[in-house]
Amino acid sequence: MADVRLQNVSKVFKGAPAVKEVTLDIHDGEFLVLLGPSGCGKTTTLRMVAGLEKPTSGSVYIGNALMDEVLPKDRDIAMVFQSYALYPHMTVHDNLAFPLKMRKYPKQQIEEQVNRTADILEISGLLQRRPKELSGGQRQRVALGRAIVRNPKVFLMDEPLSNLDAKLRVQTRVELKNLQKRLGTTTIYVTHDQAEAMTLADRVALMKNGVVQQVGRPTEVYSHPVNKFVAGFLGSPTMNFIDGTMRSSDGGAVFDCGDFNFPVHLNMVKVLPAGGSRKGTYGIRAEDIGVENTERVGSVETSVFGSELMGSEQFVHVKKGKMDVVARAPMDFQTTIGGSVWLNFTSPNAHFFDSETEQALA
Amino acid sequence: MSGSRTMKSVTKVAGTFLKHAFLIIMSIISIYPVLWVITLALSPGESLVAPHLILGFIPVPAAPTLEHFEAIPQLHLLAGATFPVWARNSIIITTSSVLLSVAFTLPAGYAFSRRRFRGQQVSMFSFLLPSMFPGVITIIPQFLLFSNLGLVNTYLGCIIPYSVGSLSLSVFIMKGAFDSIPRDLDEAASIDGAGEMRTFYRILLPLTLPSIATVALWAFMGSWLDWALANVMLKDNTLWTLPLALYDFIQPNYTYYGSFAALSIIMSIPVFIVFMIFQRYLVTGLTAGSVKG
Repeated sequence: MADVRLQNVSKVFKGAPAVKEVTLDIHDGEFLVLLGPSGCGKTTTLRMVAGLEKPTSGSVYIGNALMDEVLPKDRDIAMVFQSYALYPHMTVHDNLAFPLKMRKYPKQQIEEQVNRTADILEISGLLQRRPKELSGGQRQRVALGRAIVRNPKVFLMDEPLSNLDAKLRVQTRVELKNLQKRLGTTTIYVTHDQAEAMTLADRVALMKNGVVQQVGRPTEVYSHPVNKFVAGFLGSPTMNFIDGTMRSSDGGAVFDCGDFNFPVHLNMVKVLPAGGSRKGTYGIRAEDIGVENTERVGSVETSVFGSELMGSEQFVHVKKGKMDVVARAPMDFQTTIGGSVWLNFTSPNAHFFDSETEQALA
Repeated sequence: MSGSRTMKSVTKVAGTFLKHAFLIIMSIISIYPVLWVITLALSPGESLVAPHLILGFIPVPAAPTLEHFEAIPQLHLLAGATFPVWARNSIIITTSSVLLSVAFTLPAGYAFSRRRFRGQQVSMFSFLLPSMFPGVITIIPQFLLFSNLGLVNTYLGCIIPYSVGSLSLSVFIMKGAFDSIPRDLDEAASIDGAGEMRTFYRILLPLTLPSIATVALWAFMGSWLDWALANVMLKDNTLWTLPLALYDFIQPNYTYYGSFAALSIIMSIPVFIVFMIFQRYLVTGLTAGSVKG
């Protein structure tokens, strides 16, 4: 068990910066998810912790020890690869035993630890099989087993669930979280799947273009995104973004989209210069939009483009002028394509992003 | 509708027939000389007298005998040494060449696949270069070089060129084989606690066995069956390899066809056995690296 610390870590590949000045403190026993779109530097960051890549500048510490000159095998870490990287010529038993053999554990201890790991992951019946005789889910468990078999200080996982089918992925996600909490091992987990990040993480570090945008608990990052990128990356459906101008009005404020405007919550007023206006993007999640079949004060009439029934709820897609918005409505809410619904955008949970910097102002 | 279906099946049958006819003819063309060699080896005497011909062209020995095979252990009729000496020479030279060739090929293929170094392209090209010329043209320069080094008329005079000669193809086969193994495996092993050498021996070698078999087989054939280089390098008949002894049965005014054929068959037995053993690997070895699996 150990803390992991990255201090101003950068990586440049042939002149192209992949990771820029990343500083992260991962606490002992914590599950940290590095989240971001492909090419954002999350895997490179993970590989630098593993020692598979050498930082161009900056340092990695594991358990307060500087790792600059420490080989991967001496870092006391274990890694689960996206491809699983099982040794195809070895049985499941030998795959699990390999890290222990390499560290010259006594035979009896190897057997004990392999069997214990197989029990935890429920793969005891597969020990004599080779990887090619296993299903995707079974391979994934073996890969996980090879990581946990020798109780490393840190688990590193590079999109370990991405090769599983959707149902198995959800199931394994829960098991993985449970396993990590039982073992209490510090874990760094890389994914581009925001749902995976939300469900697994104690804290999420969201990356873009090699830069960490925001680190925090999933609910915190979801509810208080620091910029438009973070706001748009987390959550499904994606947050609605509406471009326009916010301006004061009768002690409150309205957001003017050009063709129409709507009142916003009072707490938005603070972003405006006294009596003035400000250009920017209004961000509001589908669940924060009020949907009605009749007009009310402050609501905006929009035309229904379509709706997706998700079970207990539905997402109604509407258009007005250049604006496309998705709003959440109850399952039994009646809509017809081309018909009108009235939306209320005046939520205290809405956000406002600066048009230049895209930073969240409210 | 049914007419076009009949047409289709007729075309299909005709195609299959043509394919098989072609294969049968090609097989006959390749096997025919071998039939002759077997017939000669089993016929009494040393002449090329037409044996019994089935259907006018398939040779079978008229009065089969094993006399040529029985005589082989004592064969020394023209040269001074005997069969056991030549066989031993062939085995020593071939085994050494195969082992050396594999020993050179593995690290070279590994380095070309896994490392990035200055001059990589040039050195890869330099491995390919010799294979662009017919092998015979290097024999004279090699002879001059080796005679300066005092290696003519020694085992090494053959072992070195044999083990190096197969490299240009072998190194590329091995590079392809290593390329086909995902880097993730190297990295997983390095995290699991294996250094580069152990990763090589425990992970990469077992996975490239088919290609190693191909490389070994290639070196084996190049050495076991070679006559041209051995003829230049090995003067003393106590150092001769089997192909040189074989050639000695062909004299300017008389050819010992029976003994020649019998020794040919004895010589090809190891090749046959090696092929049988490695056949399974051979195909995968030659195609390994071409398809990512």
